[in-house]
Amino acid sequence: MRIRKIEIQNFRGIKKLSWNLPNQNIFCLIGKGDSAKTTILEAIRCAFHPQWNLAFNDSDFYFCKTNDPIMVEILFGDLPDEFCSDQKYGAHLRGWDITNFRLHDEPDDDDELVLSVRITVARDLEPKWKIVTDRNPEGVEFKAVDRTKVNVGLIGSYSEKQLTWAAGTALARITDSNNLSESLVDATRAARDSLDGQRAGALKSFDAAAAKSEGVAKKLGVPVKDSFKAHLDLSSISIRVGGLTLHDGDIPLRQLGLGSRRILLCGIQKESLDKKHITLFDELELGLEPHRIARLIKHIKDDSTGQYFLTTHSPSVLRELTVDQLYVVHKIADEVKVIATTGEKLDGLNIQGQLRSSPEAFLSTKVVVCEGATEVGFLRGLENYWMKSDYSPYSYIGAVLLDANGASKLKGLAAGFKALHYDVCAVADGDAIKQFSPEDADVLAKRDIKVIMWSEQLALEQRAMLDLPWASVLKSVELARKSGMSVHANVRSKLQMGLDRDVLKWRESDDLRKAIGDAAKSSAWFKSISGGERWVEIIEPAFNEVVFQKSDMGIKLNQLRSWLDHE
Amino acid sequence: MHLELAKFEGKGYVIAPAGYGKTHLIANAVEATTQRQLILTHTYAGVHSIQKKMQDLAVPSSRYRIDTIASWSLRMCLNYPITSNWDKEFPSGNEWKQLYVACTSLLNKPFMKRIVLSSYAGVYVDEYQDCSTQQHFLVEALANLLPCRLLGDPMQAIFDFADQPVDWEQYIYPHYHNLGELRIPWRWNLAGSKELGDWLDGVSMSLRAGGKIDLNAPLPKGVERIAVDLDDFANPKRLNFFYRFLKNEEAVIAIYSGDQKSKNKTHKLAQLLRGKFSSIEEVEGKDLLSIIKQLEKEPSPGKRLLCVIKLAKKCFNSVDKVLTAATKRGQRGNLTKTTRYPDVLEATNNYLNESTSSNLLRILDAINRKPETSAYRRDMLNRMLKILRLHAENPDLSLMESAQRFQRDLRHAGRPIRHNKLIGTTLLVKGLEYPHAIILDADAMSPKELYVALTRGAKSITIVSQKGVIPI
Repeated sequence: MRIRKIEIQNFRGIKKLSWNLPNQNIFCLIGKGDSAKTTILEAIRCAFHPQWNLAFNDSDFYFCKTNDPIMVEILFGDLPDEFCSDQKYGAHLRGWDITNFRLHDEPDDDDELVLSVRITVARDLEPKWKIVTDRNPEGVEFKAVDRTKVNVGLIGSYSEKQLTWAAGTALARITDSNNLSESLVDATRAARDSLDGQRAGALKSFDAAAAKSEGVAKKLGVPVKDSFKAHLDLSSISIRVGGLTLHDGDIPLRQLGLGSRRILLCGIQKESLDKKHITLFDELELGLEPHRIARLIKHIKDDSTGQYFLTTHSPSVLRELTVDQLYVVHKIADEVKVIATTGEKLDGLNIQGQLRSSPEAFLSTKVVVCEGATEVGFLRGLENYWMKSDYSPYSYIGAVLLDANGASKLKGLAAGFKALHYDVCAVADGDAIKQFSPEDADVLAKRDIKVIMWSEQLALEQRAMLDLPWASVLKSVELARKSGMSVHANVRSKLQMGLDRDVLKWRESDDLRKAIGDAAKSSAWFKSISGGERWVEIIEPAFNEVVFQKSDMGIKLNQLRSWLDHE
Repeated sequence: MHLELAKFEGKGYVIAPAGYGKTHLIANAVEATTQRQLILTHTYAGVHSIQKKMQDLAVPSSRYRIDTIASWSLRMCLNYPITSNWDKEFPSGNEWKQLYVACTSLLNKPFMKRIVLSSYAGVYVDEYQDCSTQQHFLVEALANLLPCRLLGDPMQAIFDFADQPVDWEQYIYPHYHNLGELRIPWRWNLAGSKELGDWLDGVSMSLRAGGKIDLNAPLPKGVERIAVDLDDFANPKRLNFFYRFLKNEEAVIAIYSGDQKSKNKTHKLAQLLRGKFSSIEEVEGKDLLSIIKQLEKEPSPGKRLLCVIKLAKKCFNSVDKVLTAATKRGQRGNLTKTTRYPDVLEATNNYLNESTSSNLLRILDAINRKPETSAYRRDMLNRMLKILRLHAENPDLSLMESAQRFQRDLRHAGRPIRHNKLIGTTLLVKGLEYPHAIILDADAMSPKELYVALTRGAKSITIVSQKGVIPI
């Protein structure tokens, strides 16, 4: 069975959520720390909880407001015949148009047949599971035995239980026995018998006390049929299913590392499954090295019998996934939204490439989209500089730099990440109007995207050479020369006059500043990440100077910093 | 034959004469399959009898679902009211026909096919001769999805005016595979009346072939002919033979043919027999409903009381003897020394004060307990009592609404009558079984009616015929 739509109300951190799911096997949820990813997994688990006794408490209600009942409604399809029959839920089928995400209370001819399960919990904390429709809103009970058949397993942080035979666990499901408790009684008897065999050793001191009691009994006339001895009382020691756990030799597997335990569980969950299953994996990467993450994800990808819901905070996990498997969970005021990283707005922007090369961007809260390598390098350098001045590093504030690889993609990427509800800042050159015009900048700004664009239609290098103190300009030329650039020839070609071969003898003039800027840009003096970074190192002493602070570049760098710190 | 039925995968029929073990065959066939079967029939009495057979033979209940065609279709349509365009929970009259049409087109929907295929592995339809043409199309839609076995007997296809059943020549024989015919008259063999069974087997064959029965010839044990004219009111002895049946406890059914004139005769006869035999009503209970309608319309307490008296007279003999003259005029009577039954008078006076159903109940109850009176239409009387009680308990309903609610439940509960000496018509008794049957006015019956009537008695049949060779 497969989940097609999830609606949640008043459950833990979610006031309201409605999510239509495309027909896929893997849904990986990412998003800010408290964006309710795990709550979504928990909601699925509750809706298909295999036992009748699922305990809720006040803190499961949104803001502990127990007057607003918890409601989770899940539409699921890919139904087995049994659920479609009239002894089960044949009267309650609905139709799901998966292409248009449209629900019909009675199925249309081309619809997939689906059922809606609704679990509600009111003040009395008693969960009620119903299969509901619009035509029968009261619904009929969705019995525990049927919930079990949906086969939902959660692999979360308390998964030790899962390596036991406790009711509802994957191990219990793959065990070929109609009545686990009954089988256990036999196990208990065997334990008792084997103890009898070791009476002389293990029970020696207990038997001595028993013999004393026997003497007392006889003296007082209490009839003694055989003889008194110590023994296990089946009724008080009976092993419970939860006590039977998976061992490797004598070692309980719960002593395995966290990651191995979770991988094993995932495998067992899949094993139960000649039938279909829905597996929930909270924090997939927990306890796993990147290569084991890759292996686990391959296992998941190869499994066509299941639907997987994952949450993660790890770039290693993201690198193994494709964008259509990725969903950003975002909390906006009272509502939680789940947003796909594919779709019209994001077409042609090579989001997949970004996911491979900069998975961190998807795990951040602030994305600084840079036009090219120069800007990325420059902003790296700025980070170093800012850290020296006791500002927080980008990682601390959840900001990530993203290389757009050219002005033409800058607008789309910035808008795309904004559409995924990240805070976005675009750092653009002003010189390639065809690719990124001031109008484009306005469009982005209207969408609440911070745009840093150098004035007078200049590129970063050009702007810097105009705004930096002359000494810093010359230091920049020196840096370029030392890294092998033909700086004299480059600059000379931009000038209508002669130029001293000795850089240090260059005399400040507007024309020369302009020529140096043009040369630095066109000959790509700093056009690499490391190049940009080193450049900032050379010129940063000028950043504190009042004149620079008042220049276009100085003003805009301050704007960038304050966006990073405050937005 | 049951194994053949169980294995069969197409569309087929079995000719099953009355009393030849049809229900048994269905139960055995269902037991021989492992998957769930849908068993449809026409009446709740039919549902109960198949249900009982299943339990007797310990067929696991997971293997079958038994329902009437009406209630199964209604349930399916109401489950999907938009698609079926059906939302009436309690159809009546002609609406049932529309329901079957709605359900037939619902069954063509892909999702309904999935539901049907997920729910059942095959269909049995019992008493197929009672299927209307609309019901047949519905069954046909099911037969296109699942193996389908029809059981019935065209010889028992008797019907009320306007309820023409499905034509076997046109719809069944050319399209359905003949799976055979039941041959052994189990009902009579099991009742210890093998001779009667064998005689009926011969009668059945002869009637099917268009032949006649000669009652002048020697008759076997269990068959008796009475040559009297029941309508000869000058002959007081003509009813004497009925009294013989009162000697023992066993149930007796006296059967008139199903035309309108004969329907009235059942009540007349019951009245003449002073309720020793009680007449039964049609399921719909039209007579009663029309009296209730009239009662609701009457504007004054006096008129209402007269209406109540009219009703009482339809149910009891000698009502006049227990009423005072004033009461008979629909007026309040004064209690005097000579008032014979103060309780009846008090009840009618109370009703004049307040025409409630509980007061009406008291009148009927008081009349019923008088030695002069005797109930002869117990079926109608009991229905009325139940409707009145229902109305007394649910004052927010009107009397008519109470009657309609009672009517709905009646289909499930069956006739509210325990008296076991009964008079009915062929239409009312088809499908039912009694130890003893009396065929009233056999000379007036068609071959099919005659066949249905004759096969009701498991131990004895008494045929009232002047002609001696029937059908005429």
